[in-house]
Amino acid sequence: MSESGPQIPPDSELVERVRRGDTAAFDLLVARHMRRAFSIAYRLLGHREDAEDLAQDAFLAALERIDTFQPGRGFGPWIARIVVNRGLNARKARALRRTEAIPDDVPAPSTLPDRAAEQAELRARCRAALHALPEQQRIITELFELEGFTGAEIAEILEIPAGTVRWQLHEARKALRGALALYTTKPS
Amino acid sequence: MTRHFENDPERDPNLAALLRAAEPDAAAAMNWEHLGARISRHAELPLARRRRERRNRTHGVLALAAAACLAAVIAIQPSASSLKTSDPVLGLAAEQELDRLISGRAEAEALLQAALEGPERTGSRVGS
Repeated sequence: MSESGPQIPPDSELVERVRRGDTAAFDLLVARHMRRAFSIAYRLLGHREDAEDLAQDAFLAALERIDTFQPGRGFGPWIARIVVNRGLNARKARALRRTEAIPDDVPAPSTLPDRAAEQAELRARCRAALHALPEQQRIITELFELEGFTGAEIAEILEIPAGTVRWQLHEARKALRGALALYTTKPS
Repeated sequence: MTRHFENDPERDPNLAALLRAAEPDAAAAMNWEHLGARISRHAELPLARRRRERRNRTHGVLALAAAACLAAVIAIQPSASSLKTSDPVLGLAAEQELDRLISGRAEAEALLQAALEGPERTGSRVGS
């Protein structure tokens, strides 16, 4: 009787198999990284369908360029970099077409009216504080605090020095804590 | 790489919770299977192209290797290229004799003799 379950192939092995055209390996890579790719895309675009399209485009672009992937590096930061680059381009293109609006297309969980009002206010304040940050600081903060990337990985994703990442993160946190002092001292 | 990890600040769960609250949780309403299937469907063609290219490359290498082997055999066996049509072995390849050999009408001894003596004297002997 074997003591462990089925072997989970590392990303590097899956990438090698994808290079040979292995569909199952590609599906595994997608399943493993799709959620984070979508999450980053959604934070950049603020719209679910656009985020789905962006995640899909990013994986197909990754497949197209899979031969340039360096096996020693992580696939997660690599696909995140593609999502961020394409997402920023999409934002710029969209900004030219219309003024930015972030629709709440996902229904909020049902809550009591006063609780709902409180949450709406909190959401509005947080959003305002987040969007008041310079774009790079906001992306760094989201990648670090919400997506769980390390400073080194963020440096790789955004193609900037790790020291810059740490400094920008420090500045962003300072600004956010200042803007949300009421909530950070008294968590809801 | 480790140095960067050490230099990372502590995660701030309180701040993270506030940031999560800033946007609706789109992931909760997502149908991941649907998105995964959609991506896989679009990837089918490029993946098939990769498989075909790989197959073609393999076949190309095999054909090249076969050609190289053939060239090597010819190069190290000069006698093979210097065969003349009057040689006994080629003489046997004359259409009539080959026909007799295949049909079994020629006697084995006569054929052997014909091969040894050459094409000039084979016709009547094999036929007899």
